[in-house]
Amino acid sequence: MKLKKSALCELPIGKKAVICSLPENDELRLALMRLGLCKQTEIQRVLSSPFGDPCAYLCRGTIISIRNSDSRNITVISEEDNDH
Amino acid sequence: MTIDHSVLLAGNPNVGKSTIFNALTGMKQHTGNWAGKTVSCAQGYFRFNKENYKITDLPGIYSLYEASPDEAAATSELYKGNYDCVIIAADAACPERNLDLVLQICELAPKAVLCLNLWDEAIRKGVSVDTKKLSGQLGIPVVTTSARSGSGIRELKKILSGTVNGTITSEPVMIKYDEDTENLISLMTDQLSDRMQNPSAQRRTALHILRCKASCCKNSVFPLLPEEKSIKEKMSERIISESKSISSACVHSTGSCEKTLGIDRVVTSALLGIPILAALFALIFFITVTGANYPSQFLSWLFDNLRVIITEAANKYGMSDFWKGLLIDGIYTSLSEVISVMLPPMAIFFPLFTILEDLGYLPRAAYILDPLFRKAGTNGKNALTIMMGFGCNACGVTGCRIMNSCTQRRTAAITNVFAPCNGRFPLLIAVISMFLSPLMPDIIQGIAGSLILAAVICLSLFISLLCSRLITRFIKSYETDCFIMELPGYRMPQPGKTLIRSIFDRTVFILGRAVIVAAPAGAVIWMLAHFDIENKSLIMYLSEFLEPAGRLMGLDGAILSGFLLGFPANEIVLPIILMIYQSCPAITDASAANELMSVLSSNGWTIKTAVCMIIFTLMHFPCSTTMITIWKETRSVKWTAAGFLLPTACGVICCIAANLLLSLFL
Repeated sequence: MKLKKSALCELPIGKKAVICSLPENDELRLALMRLGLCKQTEIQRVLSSPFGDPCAYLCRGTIISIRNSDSRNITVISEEDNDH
Repeated sequence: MTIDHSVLLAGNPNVGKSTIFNALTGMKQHTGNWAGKTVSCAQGYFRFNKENYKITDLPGIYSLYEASPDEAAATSELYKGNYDCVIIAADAACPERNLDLVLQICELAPKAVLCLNLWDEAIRKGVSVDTKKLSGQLGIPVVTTSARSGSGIRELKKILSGTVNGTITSEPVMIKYDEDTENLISLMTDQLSDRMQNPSAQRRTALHILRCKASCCKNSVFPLLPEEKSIKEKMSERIISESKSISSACVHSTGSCEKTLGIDRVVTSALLGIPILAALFALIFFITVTGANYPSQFLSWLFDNLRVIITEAANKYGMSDFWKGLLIDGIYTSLSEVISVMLPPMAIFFPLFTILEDLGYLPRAAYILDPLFRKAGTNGKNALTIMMGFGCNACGVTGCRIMNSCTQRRTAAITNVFAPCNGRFPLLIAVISMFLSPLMPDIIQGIAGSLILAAVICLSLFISLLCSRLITRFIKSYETDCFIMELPGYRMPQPGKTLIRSIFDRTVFILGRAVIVAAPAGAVIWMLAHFDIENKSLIMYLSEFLEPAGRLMGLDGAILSGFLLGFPANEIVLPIILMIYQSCPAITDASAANELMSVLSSNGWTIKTAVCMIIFTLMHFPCSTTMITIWKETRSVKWTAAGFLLPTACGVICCIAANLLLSLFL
């Protein structure tokens, strides 16, 4: 099983991953930590809004919406798909 | 009444804190299914076992990092320690995430009780929590409640009473941090030891400083403090991992969000998301516009008959003409006016809106509309404050606390007035149904009316966004913006309860406001219209003075006087205008659509006047209550002045433009 690093916003819908780093920006980090997102947290992309931005993620039992420009700076580790 | 125990109620947003508060105190705080509904600390009282309790409902918060004004207020209440116990409300269906805040509060509060609310929902979702074990790990008693049905509330009171009286032990757990942080904490507690004796108080203070105040204490009190960022982050990671381990030990099966996600896959989908949003609001407007007519006519008939009876009674007891004029023509008429025109649209609009709110749809609207607001330099949460503004602009302005940054908060506060509040909504409906929808064929008039209303709302939204854009451009704020918001699970609304609650609560509120504002205003205006100088009443002088400005804006002096004198409450704008037109010292009956229309038409109202009237109704200075609220929220003369001038300038410019444009075609 191969692991792959990617940005959170690139995660396909339905795919689970684990957060490996938060964005550099302090305010953004704080905003994410307030809602309980930090390193090692499991996260799953679940929805995409009508305009494609923001997207919603399932994290620790709650649905949280994050803009793509912010989730681009969150790196996650997920299992590589077999067909790639 | 002597207060024996003082209790705080804290917890994450949207876990039913207000419902618990209401269940405990028997009060009727308004509740809603989205983060940020409770904007200020409500206080209530209850009695249990011959003891009086005072309970303070803190705004819902996610953390104690003071990242928003709400969090700062709640944290400082918790830290001040003028209380005997904290009830921590948590969502039983989602315990792990809620534990973050529970653990943080445990570090600040000397005594606490955990209340796992929404227990019935959790059982339905298949979540099971070992409360005994959880209580052991947290060191505080745990109660399960379903506040909506009232179950568990008695048990909560019993446990609370035991805790404050010391028969039940509550020693909130203190998390042990990593070595570096602990060293730092012990360094700080040593320095604090000459100011406070109690070691746990020392630790509480140290943690509070590390969490929120590190930047301001860095140089003065604790020169050794490291960068605020790294320490906060370490603490936060520790808390999150601790709640993970507690939850994996005590929560046996985690529920899924599948039901909510299933609905969201349709409701926020690329194909249906926007049509559903538009259709929902159009439907609400349609029901309001068409449904408001009948009760409105009935009320005005009722008040007319009552007026005859009162006048007869007054004649019988030989009341003087002055008092009869002041009391009946002034106060009674303006009161009945406000009630019969304003009440029906509100009594229909609000229950419908409350159902959307209880359902949890509003955060979805914010989520869908975020890209639009982003273009204006704000974010989707602004949509929520605008929707609150539909109810009352003053509430909308207070609601702006949910915005992330200071500039956004203030911008949202001063642009909130563009959302037509319930004082102006019926005015818009009246003007549209009298002058604009009759232009359409009979069959589609109802639909046309609601479409025009929807267009008017869209216009107000557009202007609001445009102003936000200009302000954020102008200030060039460097605050980073993000839109990170929780989408709460859908909940079944309780239509019966909603209907009764929103009609009763709002009715009492509106009637109260009508009595407080409209009655004296009616008296003052009657006097202005009654006292003559050289055979002309004072109000006529004002109206004639404003006539040229009014004409330029496609309106007239009477309308502008109406808006000026309607500063205390927008509800009385139309009655004042009518009174000036009739130039007799009595407010005319505005609710009979045909009669009203004939009065207006005979005073030169055309489609152009109606359009300009709608524009100026949407955009003019906020009412006095809203102005005071803007001042309270921004604490800035500049922003308060902007809050007055910006919408007025927009209104004047748009009215003049509309007047010139329409003059070309009509």
